[in-house]
Amino acid sequence: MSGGYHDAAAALVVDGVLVGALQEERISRIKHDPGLPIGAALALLAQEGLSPQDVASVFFHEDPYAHLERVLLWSLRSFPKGLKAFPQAMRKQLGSDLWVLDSIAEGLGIPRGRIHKGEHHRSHAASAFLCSPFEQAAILTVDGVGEHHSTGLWQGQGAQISCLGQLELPHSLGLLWAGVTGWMGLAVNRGEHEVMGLAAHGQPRFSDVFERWLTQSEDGSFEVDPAPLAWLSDPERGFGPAMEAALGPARAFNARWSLQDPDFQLRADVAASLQQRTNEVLLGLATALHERTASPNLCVAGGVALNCRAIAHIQAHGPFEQVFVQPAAGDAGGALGAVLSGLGIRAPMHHAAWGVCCDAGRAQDLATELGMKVERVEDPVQRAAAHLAQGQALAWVKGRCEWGPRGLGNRAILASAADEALGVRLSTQVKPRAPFRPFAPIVSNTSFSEHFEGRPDLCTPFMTTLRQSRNDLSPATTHVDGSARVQSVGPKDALHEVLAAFEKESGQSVLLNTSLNGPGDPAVARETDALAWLMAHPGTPMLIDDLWIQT
Amino acid sequence: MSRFQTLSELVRHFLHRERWVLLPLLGVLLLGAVILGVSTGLSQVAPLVYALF
Ligand SMILES: [Fe+2]
Repeated sequence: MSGGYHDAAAALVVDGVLVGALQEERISRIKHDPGLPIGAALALLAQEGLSPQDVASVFFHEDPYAHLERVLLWSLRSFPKGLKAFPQAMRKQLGSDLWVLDSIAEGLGIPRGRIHKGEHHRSHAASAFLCSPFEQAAILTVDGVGEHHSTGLWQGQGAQISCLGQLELPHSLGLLWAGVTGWMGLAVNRGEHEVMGLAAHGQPRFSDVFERWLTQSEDGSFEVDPAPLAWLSDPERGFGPAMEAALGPARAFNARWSLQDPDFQLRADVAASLQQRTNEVLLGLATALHERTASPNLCVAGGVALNCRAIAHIQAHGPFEQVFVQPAAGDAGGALGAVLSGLGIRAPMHHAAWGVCCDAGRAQDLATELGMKVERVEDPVQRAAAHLAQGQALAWVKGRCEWGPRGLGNRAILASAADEALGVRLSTQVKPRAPFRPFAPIVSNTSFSEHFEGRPDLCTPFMTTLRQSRNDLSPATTHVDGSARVQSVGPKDALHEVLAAFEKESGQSVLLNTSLNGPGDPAVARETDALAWLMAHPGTPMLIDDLWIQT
Repeated sequence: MSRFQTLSELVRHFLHRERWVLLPLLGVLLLGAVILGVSTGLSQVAPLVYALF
């Protein structure tokens, strides 16, 4: 299990085999649910016909005592600046976080002795390496902070992971990103991916500022200047006056974005500068790691590993032959890493469908009761393809929901990637989002190279990297700089047949694929969520297995 | 009381090497937490920021 801070999740191993992994938000319906993943654990157990009493061991992804120690230490070190946040931090630490292992035992109704603590960055490292296809690999973990560390260099062999070195606070790439995200008027720890999207619109004209704030040594280690940041004195914003002095005044919190804003270019240029410096520093870390391990394989995990621009940069310019980033690279992934490293087992991951099912039978009853038009279709693939070829969007639900933040073809809104107007309609009406964020394309392995540079690799099935588009056939899914966060699908994937049928119907082989959720909501998991989405979005039909539903 | 396991693990953690210097501070805070717990109940506090706390 992971939880208590951000993106709680549970992963279930039965008799040495990974059988499920699920974020709490999909069950609780609270986006990025920071609580404990009791609901997710119960749902995974129920799916296997098990009860909590059958659970032999629970492995938590970090060490609550070391965590408390860090909060105490930093409160002392930052005195008196940290005084403002201290009472609240202590209330949370002593009121809940310290007792997290007890709360898990109570939540599941099992003895406390079955709950074991882990180590934050080791859980991240395990979440990538033990799910990778590699027998041995170099592992890089990068995030805001775990117990004490923000960055880890590791080596994996078989089911063993050994630490080669770690970097401690205040030197943290994740906290630098959090500060800039706050300066952009976005929610810290949530809006980082928007900053990454914004980077494509800018020029790195603030590179000298970020080179000053983020310095790197020959051995790959880096230092972050704490002056522009304020995670102790102002944890909600994360940045201080020094950042505004260097970059300009901060944007108002949650202000609407417009490409026509007079200061839009400034924000984009800052994002591009931060992204560029991040790329350089992560490449430096990866290179140093390669020198120490001589491995051709790299695994990356931690919140910063969700930065697919930086991953693409390491792939393009780094010394590794293969790079793997697991779909739930952030803290949710810690649950998976904790259980795999706790048991010392490997679980190479070939797909992301590890969550709960959507029951078409129950959906049919429920939809009928709600007065929706429900129809069982003979050939759902053909029906979906024909609908998409007519230039319409479709909500697609099949099998188990995805593990990680991305919609990877089991809970999706699909549309033609060639239809720019439809893309605009989706981004303004169906899935409102900042105007600088494009949707992602999905393409079969066989058509991949025709549309995108390079070939499908270990990251493309999980959308954890970027590629440049080769043509302008997919305007709805291509970013302003020609990049696309493309997903590649193989013959075993749910959408493979739909892509093939869509190509036959329309002559196009790329679809727009975005996760199935309303604004601010977690992605759809079960039939009730699916129908709730449908009620909120009349006009877009939904296909659940062979069930065609319209409001 | 399963919470004794947590308390003993906590004390063991802080007795380690140089961490014992934090023990007096922790003791005072824990006492405060007990009073807080008695008076208001120890509820889950939603974190405003995951990054540090
Ligand atoms: Fe983390």
